[in-house]
Amino acid sequence: MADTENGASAVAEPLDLVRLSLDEVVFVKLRGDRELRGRLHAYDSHCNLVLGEVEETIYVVGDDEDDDETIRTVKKNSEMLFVRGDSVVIIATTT
Amino acid sequence: MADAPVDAPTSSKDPSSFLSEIHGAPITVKLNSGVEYKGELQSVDGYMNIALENTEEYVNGQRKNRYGDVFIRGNNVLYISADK
Amino acid sequence: MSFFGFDNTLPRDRASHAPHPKQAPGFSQQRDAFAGLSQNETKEADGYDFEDTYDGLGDELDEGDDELNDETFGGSSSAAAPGKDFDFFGSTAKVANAINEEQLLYARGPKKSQPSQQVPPQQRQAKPALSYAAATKPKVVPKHQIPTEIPELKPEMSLWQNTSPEATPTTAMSAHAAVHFRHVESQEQRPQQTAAPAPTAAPGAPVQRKYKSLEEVEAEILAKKQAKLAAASQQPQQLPQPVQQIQPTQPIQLNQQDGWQGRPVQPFPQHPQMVPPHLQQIELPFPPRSIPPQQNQRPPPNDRAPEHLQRGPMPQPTGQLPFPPMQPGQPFQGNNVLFPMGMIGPGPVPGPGPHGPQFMGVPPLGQPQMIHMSDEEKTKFLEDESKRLKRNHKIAQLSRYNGLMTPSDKNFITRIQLQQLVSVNEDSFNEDFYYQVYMAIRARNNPQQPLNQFAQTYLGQQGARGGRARRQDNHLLRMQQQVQRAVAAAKARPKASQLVLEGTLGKISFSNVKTPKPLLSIKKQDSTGAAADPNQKTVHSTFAGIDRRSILAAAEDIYRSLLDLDSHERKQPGQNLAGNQPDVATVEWLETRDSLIVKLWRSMRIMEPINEESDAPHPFIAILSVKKAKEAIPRVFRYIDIEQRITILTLITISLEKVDVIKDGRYSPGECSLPAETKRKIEGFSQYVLPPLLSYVSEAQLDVITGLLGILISRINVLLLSQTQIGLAFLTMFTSRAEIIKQAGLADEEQVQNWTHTYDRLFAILEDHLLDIFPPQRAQVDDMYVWQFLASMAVGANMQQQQKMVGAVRGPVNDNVQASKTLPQEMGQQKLANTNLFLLALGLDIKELLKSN
Repeated sequence: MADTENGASAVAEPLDLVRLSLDEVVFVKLRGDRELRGRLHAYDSHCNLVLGEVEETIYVVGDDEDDDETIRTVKKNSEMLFVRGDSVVIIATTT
Repeated sequence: MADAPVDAPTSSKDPSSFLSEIHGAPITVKLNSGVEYKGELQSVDGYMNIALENTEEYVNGQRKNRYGDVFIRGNNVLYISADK
Repeated sequence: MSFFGFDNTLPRDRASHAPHPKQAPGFSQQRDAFAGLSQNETKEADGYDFEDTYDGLGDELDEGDDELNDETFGGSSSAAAPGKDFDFFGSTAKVANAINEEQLLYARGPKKSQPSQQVPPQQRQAKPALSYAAATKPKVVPKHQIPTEIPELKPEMSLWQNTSPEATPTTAMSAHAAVHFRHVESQEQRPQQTAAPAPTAAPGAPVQRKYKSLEEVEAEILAKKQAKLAAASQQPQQLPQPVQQIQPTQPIQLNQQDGWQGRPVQPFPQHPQMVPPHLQQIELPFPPRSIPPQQNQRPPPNDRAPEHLQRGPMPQPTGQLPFPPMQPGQPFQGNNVLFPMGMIGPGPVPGPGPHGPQFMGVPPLGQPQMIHMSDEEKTKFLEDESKRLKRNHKIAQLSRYNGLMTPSDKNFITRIQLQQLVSVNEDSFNEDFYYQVYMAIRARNNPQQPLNQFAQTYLGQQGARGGRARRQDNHLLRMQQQVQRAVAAAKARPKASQLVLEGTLGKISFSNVKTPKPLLSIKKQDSTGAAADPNQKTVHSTFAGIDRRSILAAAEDIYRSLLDLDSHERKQPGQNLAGNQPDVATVEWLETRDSLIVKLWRSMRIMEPINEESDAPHPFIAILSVKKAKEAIPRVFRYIDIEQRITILTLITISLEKVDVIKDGRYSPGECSLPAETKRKIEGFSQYVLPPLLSYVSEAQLDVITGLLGILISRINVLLLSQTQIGLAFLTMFTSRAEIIKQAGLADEEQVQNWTHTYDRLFAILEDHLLDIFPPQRAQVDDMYVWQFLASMAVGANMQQQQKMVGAVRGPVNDNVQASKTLPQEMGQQKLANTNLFLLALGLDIKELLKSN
C-alpha cells in the first residue's frame, strides 16, 4: 500500500511518466522536426504510441527563393495515429 | 559536459551511482540534436530514458518551451549534466 | 573355397598357379591379371607333385548318396562311353543365349564385393590362352614357387568380372576352355575333396550375399561349428567314397596330363555358378553329386534365381526339405544335415528361394557316422539333429522370402520406422482417441460431473470430429501447440536476447532495434528508500490534492487495482455444484478477491479525512477531476458493496461544491456557453459517474435520500449548485426517488414527514431563484435537465408550491413554446417535450398552452 499511496514513487522509472499520461493530452517531439499533440491511448516500452485527436506540426525550412531562412509549419490532423517508437525524441505532458 | 561528474552534488565514482545521486536535482540533458532540456530529474533507466520535471527546452541557448513533465527517449541522449 | 570369396588357398598352393608376379612386384602395382596362366605349363616343368600340394581336405569330402550318379552320368559300367548323357554342352548350348543374358544381368548386379565369385573359370583360362599365354610364358621363373609371397588374386578377379560380358562362349572359346578343363579335371580324379564343397557352396554366395538375413548368418555360423565337430569324426569314413563316385565322370576327361595332378584347383571350383551352364557342366564330375536329371532340367521357379544357379552342381533330390542356406565356404557342410530320412517330410520342395535349395541337397550322411555310436549317443545325436532340423526348416521357410525387398525398399521401411520412433514421444498420443478422452476426463473442471454428461461436454468441445476432420484437427492442434511452445520458449529467454560475445578482450554486446542495449545498470530506489525522502513524505501527508501528477498517479493506481481485479475475476474457479461447502480453490480465490477489493478501495482514497478548512478538495474528488478516473467509477462500482457505494455517494454529495464539474459548471456573468473543456467534463461526469450513483439511489430507502438531501442543504450552497447541470442532476436524483417511494407507499408516515420537511427546505431556498437555474440563452442550449428538475420538484410540491412554480417559470415555458415554432421541427419538438414534462407533472398539458396561444 505504501508505494501506491506514495505519489512520488509513481515515477519509479521514466516510462511511468508516460503511463501517468495515459488518456491525457501529450506533446510528442519526433525526429525530422515534427511535433504531435494528442491524447495518449497506448504506449509500450519502445515508445510506440497510439494517439487520438492528433494535431501534427511539421517544421519546414522555407524553400521560398527570396528567403531561405524562414521556417514554415505544416499542420495535419489525424483522428488516430500510431507512432513508431524509434522516431520519438521526447514525450511531454501538457499542463 | 566533461565536468559533469565534478559538478555533481557529491563525488561519485561510476555513472550509475552518479545518476542515482542526482535524483531530484536540477540537471541539463543534451540531446544528439543539440537541444537541451533543463529540469529536475525524476528518474533514469538503463536505456537512459529520462523523466524530467518542470522542464525548460533550450535550442541554441534560447529557451523555446516549458513543459511540466518530460520523458526523453534514451537513444537521443548525448549527456546528462548536473546543474549547480 | 571361401564363402566370402577370399582366396584361402595356402600360399604354396597359390604359388603353383599364381606365381609371385614379376609384372606386379608390389601390392600397389598393377598386376597382370593373367600372370598366373602361364603357370599351367611351368607346372609340368617344375614337376609338381600332387602329394606336395594336397592339403588332405579332399579326404574329408562327403561322398555319400551318390547312388544316382549312375543314372545321371550313365553309370560306371559305361564309363568308357559316356555317350550323349554327359553332353551337357550340347543340351545347354540350345539355351545358351538365354543363359548368357542372365549372366549379363548378374554381372551388372551389385556384386562388386565378390568379384572372384563371378569369374567363369574357363574365361580366366581361355582369354590368356588367346592373348596372354604366350607372352607370359617366358617370364616364368622358378622363384615363383617360393611360398613366401601371398599374391592377392582379387584384382584378377575383378578384371574377369569386367570382361565377363564379352566372354560369350563361342565355339572357339569353349574349345580353349575344354582344353584347359581337361587339365583341371584331371586332378579331380583324385579324391580331392577340398574342391568339392566349393561348388556347392559358391552358388549361393555371390547373388545372395547382400540379402543375407540374420537367420542365414546364424545358420552359417552354426553350421560351421557343427561341421568342424562332425568333420573330426567323419573323416575316416568318408575317405574311401569319393574315388568311386567320381569314376563315372572320368571318361570325358580325355587328355589328362599327369603333370597336372598335383595342382590344386581351388580357384575354379569357387565360381562354378558363374560359368555358363554349358561350360559348367564340364566341371560337374569333380564334386560328388547326386543330381537327378529331372531336377537339373527344372526351370527356375523363382525369377530371382537365375537358371544357372538352379542348375548349379547342387543335388536337389525330391522330397528333401529346403535347407537353410548352408555356408558355402564349409567344406563339410554335408555333415550339417545328418538326419534320418524319415524325419523329412516327403513334400515337394517349396519354391526354392534364391539360393536356399542349393544347400539342402546333401544326402543323409548320418548313417555311417552313427554306426560307431552307442545307442545313447545315437538318440542324443538324433535329438540334436531333429532339433536342428526343425530350426533349419523354420529358417528355410522364412528364408523363402529373402531377397524379396531391395535394399532401397528396406531403407525406406527403416526410415518410416525411425520416423515413427522419433515422433512417438510427442505425437503418438495425439492420434489416440482414448488417450485424449482420458486426459479430458482427468482435466475436467468438475470432478462431480457424471461421466456420461461429460462425454457430451467433451464431444461438444471437440466438435464432430471423425476420420479426416479429426486428423486435420490434430494437425491444427499440433501447430497451435508448436506456436505456444515457440512463444513460451521466446518468453523463457528474454535475457538471452542480448547478444554478447565474450573473448579475451572482454565482452562485446550488440544491440538492435528489438533488443536495445541497456547502457547503464541503474539501481532502482526501493519504495522504502523513496518513502524515507522527507520531501515525498510531506507530499504524502497533504496529498497536495492539486498536484496533477499525484492525481494522475492515483488514477493509475485505481486502474492498476481494477485491472488486477479484472484479471483475477477471469481466474474464478468453476462453480462447485456438489455441495454448499466451497472448495479450497474457491475460498482462496474469494480471499484474494477481497484483498484486491480492499486495495482498490484504498487506491480511491475515499476514507481519507475531509479537511474542512482547506480549499483543496478531498483526494477522491481531486482524482475524480481526471477523465479516466470518472471512467473508472462504473467499473469500481461492480466490485464494491452497498456500504462503499453509499460512502462514495455521500462523499461526492457533501463535496459537490469542490467537484470540478460544479465548480467550473456555473455560467459566469455574460457567458453564453461553458468552455469546451468543462462541457467535456460535465459530459464525462454525467456519462460515467452519475449512472452508477443513480442506480444506487434508485434502490435507496427514503431515509437515506432524506438524509443525503439534508446534508446537502446544510453544507452546500444550493443556489450555486442549482445553477449547474450536475448540481441540478443531483437534486433531481434525490427528489424524484423520494417521490417514487412516496407514491409506491414504500415509506412509513414518519419517513414521509421527514422527507417533506427536507423538501420544503429545498423549495424555500429555490423558490425565488427558479429562473436562475436556466442556462443563459436557453433557446440555443439543451435545457432538458432543467425541466426534469422542475418536473421532479412539481410532483412533490403542494398546491401552493406548484402555483409558485408555475408563476416563476411561465416565462421560460412561453419562450420554449415560441422557440419551438421557429426552431427546426426536430429541435422544436424536443423543446416542447421537455417543457411538457414539467407541465405534465403539474397536471397540465402543453397542448392546451398551444391552443390558448
